[in-house]
Amino acid sequence: CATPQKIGGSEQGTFERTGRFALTVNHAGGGQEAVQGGFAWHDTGRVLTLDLANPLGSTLARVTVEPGRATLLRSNGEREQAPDPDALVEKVLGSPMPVSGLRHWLQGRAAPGGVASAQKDGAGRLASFAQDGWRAQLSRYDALGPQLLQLNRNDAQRRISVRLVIDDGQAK
Amino acid sequence: WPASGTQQLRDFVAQVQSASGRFTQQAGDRQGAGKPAQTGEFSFQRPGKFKWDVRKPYEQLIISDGKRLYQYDPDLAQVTERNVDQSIGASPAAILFGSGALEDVFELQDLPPRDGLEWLRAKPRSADAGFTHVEIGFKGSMPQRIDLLDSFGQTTRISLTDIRANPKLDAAAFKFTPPPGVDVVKMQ
Repeated sequence: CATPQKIGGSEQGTFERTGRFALTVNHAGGGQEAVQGGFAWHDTGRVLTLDLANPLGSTLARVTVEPGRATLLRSNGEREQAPDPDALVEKVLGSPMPVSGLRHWLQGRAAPGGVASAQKDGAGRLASFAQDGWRAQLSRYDALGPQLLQLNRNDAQRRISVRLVIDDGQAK
Repeated sequence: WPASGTQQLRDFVAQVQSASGRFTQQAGDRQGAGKPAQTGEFSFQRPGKFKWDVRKPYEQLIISDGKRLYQYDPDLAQVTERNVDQSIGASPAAILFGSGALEDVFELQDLPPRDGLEWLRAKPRSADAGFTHVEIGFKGSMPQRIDLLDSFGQTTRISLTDIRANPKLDAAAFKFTPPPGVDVVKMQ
């Protein structure tokens, strides 16, 4: 699929990644849902912009996260706001994605606050841990961070798997 | 005088029942700065069977047997399987590979020629088609370029090359069997 193009802007300390995601939800009742697509991640530290695209490359939604507010803009122009981005992504993809945690996990570190059973790989990089109800496995590191992230969450009603593959990226 | 884009589209839909070829796909913003292009192979057979097989820089397969649409990404280790109508609907694939009446789903409009091609613009009639419009450039009643503008100003440029019209495609060309051990998610 065409992952969305990296979002422009060159503020200091900007972290950019583009890649693909697969989201799978197994419901306790036995139903299953899944969605695949591309994403473009542009994080200036203060503001995060996340574009979610369908496999043929057209952007379906843009989630913008500023201190204290997250905004979802859909391709049909509808706009929604919420204090935290994870719930907004669920509205687009049908399952939450740990966007707040990923601002740190994508850079190979746990988010501030409680982290459990953290393990490092042979090169001392963070390989697996549990945080905010998610179990994360990070691998295929490049200079910027992991290029493969497998995230799992088991709630009472559903088991969620998020798999992110990074294709491209830069930090400026 | 070459026929207009919309006329060449009608000829294409009428004369070309199946085709195969290669594609290059490049996403980029308005200035066109983009990522490395994806390249791969495509084929289709009306009505509704098509294969969009990205080979580089990563592998990703989208294939439809006319009833079910499969998406397989080896890196993501997942196959999704869903009904064709849910997904094709007003997608660019529908324009080229479908066989429904295009005017029902799209507003078609001829554009001035450029890059040596005759162009048309197809604007989806439904607001949530997920893209603003798609422009298709024709030559000899065959699509050569597809430019897809999404609602966030991103343009995906697709070039089609080495197209063979009405090739002999074997029956299994659009059959997909998930590789063993890969998570297959069936959607209603």
